[in-house]
Amino acid sequence: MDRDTADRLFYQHFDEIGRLVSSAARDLSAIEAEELDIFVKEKLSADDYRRIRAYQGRNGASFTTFLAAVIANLLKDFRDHLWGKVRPTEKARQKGTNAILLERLLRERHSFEEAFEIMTTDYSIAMSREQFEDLIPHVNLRYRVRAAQGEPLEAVDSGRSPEEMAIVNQMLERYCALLKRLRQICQNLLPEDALIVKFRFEDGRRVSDIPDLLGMSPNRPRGKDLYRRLERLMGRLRESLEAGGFSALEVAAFLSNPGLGDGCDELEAG
Amino acid sequence: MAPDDDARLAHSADGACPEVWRLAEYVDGVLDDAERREIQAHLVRCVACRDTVADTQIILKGSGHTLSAASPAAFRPRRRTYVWAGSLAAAAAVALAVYVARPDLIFGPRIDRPELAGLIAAMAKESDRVVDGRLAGGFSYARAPSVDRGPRGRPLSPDVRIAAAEVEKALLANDAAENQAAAGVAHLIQGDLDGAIDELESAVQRRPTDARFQSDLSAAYLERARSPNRADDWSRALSAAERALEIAPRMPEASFNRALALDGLRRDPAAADAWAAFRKLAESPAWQSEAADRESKARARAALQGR
Repeated sequence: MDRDTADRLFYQHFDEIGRLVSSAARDLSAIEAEELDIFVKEKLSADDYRRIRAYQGRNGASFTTFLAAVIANLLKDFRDHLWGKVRPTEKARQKGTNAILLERLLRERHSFEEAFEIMTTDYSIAMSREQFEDLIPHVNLRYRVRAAQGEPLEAVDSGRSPEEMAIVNQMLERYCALLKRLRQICQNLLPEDALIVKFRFEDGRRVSDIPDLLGMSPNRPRGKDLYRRLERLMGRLRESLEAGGFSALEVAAFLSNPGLGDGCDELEAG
Repeated sequence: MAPDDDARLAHSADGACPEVWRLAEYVDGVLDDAERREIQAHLVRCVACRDTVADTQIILKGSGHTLSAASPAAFRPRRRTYVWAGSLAAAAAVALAVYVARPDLIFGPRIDRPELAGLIAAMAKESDRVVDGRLAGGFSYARAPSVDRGPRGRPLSPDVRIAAAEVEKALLANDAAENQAAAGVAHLIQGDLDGAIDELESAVQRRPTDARFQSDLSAAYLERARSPNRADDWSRALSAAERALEIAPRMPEASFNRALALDGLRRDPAAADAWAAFRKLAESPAWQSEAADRESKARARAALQGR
């Protein structure tokens, strides 16, 4: 594709790009969403539309889907730029931008008290003490540094004892061991079954989203078959994991809490 | 570590990862079987490309481009940690810790049975429990039913009835053991005790190592044990709770049901000890308080018997 064609496509789809970026930005604050919009459009037009010129249009493939795929990749870079290389946890993301910010501040080794101060002053977030405390169960407290003695908000965290966090750490090792075994099991599965397992248990994708992730024609029947297949795979995984020395309880917990093994690779490497 | 966009393009040019337009074609479902299988084989190995495929779908759905009637997915990019040594997501540990620690204190209430999520949410609005025993999966605290304010004297809320019907409908669509056990819970909540026990006994038979099914079966026996000529259900409730605890020794629901069964069997000293054991596992002060109350009554009865 030449530069002029790419230029024309870019402007023809300018509104479409905006809609796709809005969809991609649903976890971001309004300001961050605007920044993403600018970032994406800059990247798409950079180097004489190099990214757009990569579009092949084979087999009736949709330009919109192509744009969405490019934006998906650009979003990753934007998030790295925004949040650093450490992602906010799903729990914080579900609670919203304030919880993401709190988690980030705790990660930067601010105490609760400092985080409250920063959020309400530097970020001008209109938030009561109660609203702030309401965010705390939604952030990853592993990021929390030891609070200063006498810090009033320490009471909020009083239920989370060092013993409990020690249990969390012990269990983490078991989770990672289960994940490692799961990966070994995947090597003996058919590629599509292995992919279903990866999407579901390693990446934590919703079961209802998986049929769309298998690259099948939209006209091909899906849904119920996938559930049956997943059920069959679950049975097989359960048996294989239990045969690998894990208790039924551990396996049940692992399979019902998919997609939480982030960092296991670093643990193994480190 | 996932390559950034420019590095990703270079990577694709090396042939290691498919080009972004091929991933887009995969998402569109326009590849022939051979090409699709080739991409799938790559996706199994490459988390960055799996992320691209999944995020592309999510972006498309969120912008109204989905052909599917399904509701737009929540935007759920995988979480990854790259540089923070030892900074594994604590959530990962919680996945297992919920069974052994005190989940409410660590990360809020859990719902670990998606098939019951609607029912759990509907029941959370009720001030009283529908049954005396505890149901597994993340049901929040509610007061025990009593003669004056028990559920049997009043109808269930429409939300609960709708959620229970949804659970039963799910079983018709897919008769997985989870759905069968969930249907048992739905029957139990609606007061159909025989139906509940039938479903839960079948679920347990299909998957005897699932502590949640055993514990819920115990709760169903506990409820039926109060019916005329059903006193033998107290022993069944105790056995089912103990089987659950063999599988999951720190499961609060099973521990609670065991103590209730011992109460029902009038084994008061053992019941008092069982309540004390449950208090150590209880996830919230409300459960602890109810257990403390029951423990003191059991101890008082035991003391009276000892006179």
